[in-house]
Amino acid sequence: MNTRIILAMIAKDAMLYARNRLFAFLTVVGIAAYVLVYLLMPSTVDESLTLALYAPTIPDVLINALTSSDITIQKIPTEDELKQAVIKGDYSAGIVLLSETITALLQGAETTITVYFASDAPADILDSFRSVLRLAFNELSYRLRGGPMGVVLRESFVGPDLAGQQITARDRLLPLMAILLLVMEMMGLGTLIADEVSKGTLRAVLITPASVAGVFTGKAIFGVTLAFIQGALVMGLTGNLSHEPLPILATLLVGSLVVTGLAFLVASVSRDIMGVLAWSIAIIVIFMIPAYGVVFPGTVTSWIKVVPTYYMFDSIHQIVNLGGTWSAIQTNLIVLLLMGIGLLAAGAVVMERKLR
Amino acid sequence: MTNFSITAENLTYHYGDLVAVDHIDFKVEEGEIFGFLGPNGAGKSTSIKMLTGQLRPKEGKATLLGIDVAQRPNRVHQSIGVAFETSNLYEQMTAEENLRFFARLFGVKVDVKALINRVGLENRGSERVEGFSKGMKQRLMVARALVNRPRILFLDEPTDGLDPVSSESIRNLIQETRAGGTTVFLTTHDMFEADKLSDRVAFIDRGKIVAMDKPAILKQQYGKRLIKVEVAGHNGHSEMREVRLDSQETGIALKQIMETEKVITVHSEEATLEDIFIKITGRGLA
Ligand SMILES: Nc1ncnc2c1ncn2[C@@H]1O[C@H](COP(=O)(O)OP(=O)(O)OP(=O)(O)O)[C@@H](O)[C@H]1O
Ligand SMILES: [Mg+2]
Repeated sequence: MNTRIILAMIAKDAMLYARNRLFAFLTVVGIAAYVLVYLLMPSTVDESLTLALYAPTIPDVLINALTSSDITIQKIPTEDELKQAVIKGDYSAGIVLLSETITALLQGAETTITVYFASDAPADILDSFRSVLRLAFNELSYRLRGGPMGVVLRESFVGPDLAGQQITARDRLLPLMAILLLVMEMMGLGTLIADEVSKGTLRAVLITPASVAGVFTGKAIFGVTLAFIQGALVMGLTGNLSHEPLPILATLLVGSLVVTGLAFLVASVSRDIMGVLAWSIAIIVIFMIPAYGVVFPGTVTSWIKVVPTYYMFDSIHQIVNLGGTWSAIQTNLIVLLLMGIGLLAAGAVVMERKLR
Repeated sequence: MTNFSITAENLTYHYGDLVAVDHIDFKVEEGEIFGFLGPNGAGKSTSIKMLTGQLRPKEGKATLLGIDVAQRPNRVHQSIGVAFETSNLYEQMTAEENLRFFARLFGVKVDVKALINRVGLENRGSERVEGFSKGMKQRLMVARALVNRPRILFLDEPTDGLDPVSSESIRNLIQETRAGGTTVFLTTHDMFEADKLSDRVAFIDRGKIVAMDKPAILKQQYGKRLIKVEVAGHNGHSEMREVRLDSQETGIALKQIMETEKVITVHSEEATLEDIFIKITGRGLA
């Protein structure tokens, strides 16, 4: 292996990549489209207010008071289920009205009502809930007793600790877009490698002093750089590299390693470009599944953790949306690094065997 | 002591059960043009692949310039050039870019334009290879094999499928290259080409070398030399008379024809390598 050969390979691959109309197009248009979609998506959250309610028995007058044009009530059978539903993000807020609370309410006595708020719900939504609830209880009191009532709303935040940040839909989608672009590189890189095998150019290269290791190193560096730059571009252009850039870039870098390793594997099991495309698309579909865990919190099942992109999505979500830093993603980075090295090694071995 | 550029000892390769190259032995001297002649599927390409380190021999050993190919492929690759059987150039790159890239892999400086002119691709160097004809690609393949000024040049059917003019220019290039001291190993199933170019030829059939020598000696050994005499026959038609050259009655037979018949033309005819191949193997080269 030597530097001259590796550099020559990288320069040549860059030239071929730029001249491949499909991939040059996909890259440029891909980045532009992602950034555009991001910028066009609303930067505030627009959710209808649904209040989860646990009340063993509740008089109609109370239900009527709570229900208004601004809010719908969803009854939940137990207090624990209500809490879980809020944690999972099914509801942004839930209220518990025990029998003694209701009795106190109707008698006009001082009472405390527990409201569960989802910690990752946007602040403006929580404010809406607060004012709607206060209004409803006051109205009720005036109707029943002709005066304000002494209700204390005890707010209890459940779910991840967010330090009061709100997450908009576009920010939830951001990790998905950045990682999707990264993963799509698998196709470009896989094609580039498979093409060299099927067209026999790799044989011509290997008849020079270039070794298999040198050629693969060049391709791996090229692939990682290419995927990394694209992910970084999307993050940068959407203004998400200003806060904690290094952990994000580190995530994209180890993510690129995984993608490159997979590209090697895909290229070595495929006979031609169609094979590469077929395999890549299948993998990309699987790789997008963990994104649901980020876009729709609470839907993650444990098997998803074998899919490498889970760790990429989670890392970017942790940093960009939940205000995390190195400590929040270090396990993810280690897992990704190990997966990346493993896949790269496996890809190189399979490819080497194919060439012999 | 003679310097051997190429030594093959017991070289053997099989794809599964199919024995493609079967224990072949030969040596090629420095500066020699060695022709490897055989029909389709004889094992020519497989032999080249073993000699150049693309395939690891199942048995035996290949030595180039005194270096064991299987042991130190990269050392060997520095000093050899290979033109493959089928075009494997980077089609999206120009001719010059192809050559420059390979020059970088070898770590050599080369006048790319001069090399392109040498193979007769003047003014086409800045065009992408995808627009080249088969013959142009073939020439560029030879140019690529020459990028590192190799001490041994391997050519796998370099003129296959080319028109006579293109073939001739590639043959000239091979001879020029040899004149510069390069050893040339050439496979072909074109007996005319092998005869014209090679200092020595080896006949390969079903993985085995069945004969190996200078073309002239092979012809002497296996072929019969004839004199063909065209004479005027009855009612205006001409007739052919054949006289063997290497026989004791040659003189008498010739004299008799000359004296008794009306001679129109006289030709001497040598056996071709193809005739000899058929004689040895019982089948043709095509
Ligand atoms: N990759 C391969 N897998 C299996 N069998 C192969 C492979 N390559 C060659 N063979 C077989 O090995 C034998 C020798 O093939 P080889 O390519 O060396 O012949 P050749 O003399 O170069 O023929 P040609 O003149 O057609 O190029 C043939 O029977 C061929 O079918
Ligand atoms: Mg062949």
